Amino acid sequence: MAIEERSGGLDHLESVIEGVIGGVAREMTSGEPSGALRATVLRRVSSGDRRGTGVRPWTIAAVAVAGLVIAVLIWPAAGPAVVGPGDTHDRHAARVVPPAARPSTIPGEIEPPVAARDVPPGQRIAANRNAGVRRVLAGGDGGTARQVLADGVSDDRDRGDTVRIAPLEMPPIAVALLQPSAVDIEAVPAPATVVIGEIEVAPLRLGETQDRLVE
Amino acid sequence: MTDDELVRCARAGDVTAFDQLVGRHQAAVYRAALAALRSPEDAEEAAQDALVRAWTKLASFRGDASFRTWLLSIAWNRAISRRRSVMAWWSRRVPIEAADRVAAGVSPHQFLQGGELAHHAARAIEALSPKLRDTLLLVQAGDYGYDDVAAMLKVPVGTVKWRVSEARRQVRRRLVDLGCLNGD
Repeated sequence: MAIEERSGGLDHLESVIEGVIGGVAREMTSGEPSGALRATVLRRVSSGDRRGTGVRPWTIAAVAVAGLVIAVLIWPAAGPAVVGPGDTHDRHAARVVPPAARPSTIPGEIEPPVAARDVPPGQRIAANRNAGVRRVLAGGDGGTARQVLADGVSDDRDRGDTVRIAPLEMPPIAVALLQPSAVDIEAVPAPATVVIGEIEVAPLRLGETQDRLVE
Repeated sequence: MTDDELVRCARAGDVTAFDQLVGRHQAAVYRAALAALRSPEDAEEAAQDALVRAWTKLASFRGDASFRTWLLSIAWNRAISRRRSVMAWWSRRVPIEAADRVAAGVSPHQFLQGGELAHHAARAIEALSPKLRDTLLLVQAGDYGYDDVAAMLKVPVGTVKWRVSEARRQVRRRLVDLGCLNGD
């Protein structure tokens, strides 16, 4: 494979090597644009078409939607477990509630916005879960133990009407999430006030105690 | 008409004048895009985008540099943006046949195995870092002076010259490592 030095000597070989490198580099950038380039540019300039021919917006949107669908499909398996006293239910079964088994209003449930009521029940369940609505319940002995429950899960479980549904039925529910975009925004602030009430009290008492000790 | 005169007409809305500018510089724009993308199809689309963008940005052309240099800078930026995009990455191909075409033109008096050397040289250029490879290809393309390349890459002329020298040195080194040459 080695190239033998020819009569021109090392300098000649070097110059030839340089020539080959230059030739290869030139060849990599050689070529003429097609005859359609000028005509296409003229047409786009005349018509005011300024869109790029690179990655189209719909491509980005498609990738984003695919990412959302994958995230929603993964979420039930990787999300925080909802555990209640004596709870031995299967996690997937506890989360999925058939639309027909869910009443339109459950006592203690956060009332969905008007727009949400117009959405079919199956979509509402998925939308509420996606919005991450949480309720904080104080412990029965007045202590600080708190149990965070996903909306709609404990009520259905307490009534014993939970129906096990195979995880394969999840995709249709996940797709419905993409349509009602602004439905759940108003539902988020309601439970937040309950949480803040408990958190704010404790640091104030500690501060006053510390002041007395310092004095 | 000179470029400056055509630019003035084009800025006034004369599409025909801009079309003449496109005719003059489309090949240089295309080759710059080809140096970055190395796919004729991608280069054609990038060149098309660059020329349309130049039309829309014509009002911002201040004349500090020549129209050609300004246009090449736009073309290079568009090509690099395209290269960074996922879609372009997915569809990029390495034109190995380029090396074969060069090899066919090498004199048998010069090389016993010249075709193989050209092939390895092409591989070595492909293996360069993007900065060195882009600079080498633009300079070797023959369409652009050092000033043009420096403006396109937004680096000083001295940096362009150093990169070309360094790129050549690395290619030679790689050819030696492959056993194509007897030494430095």
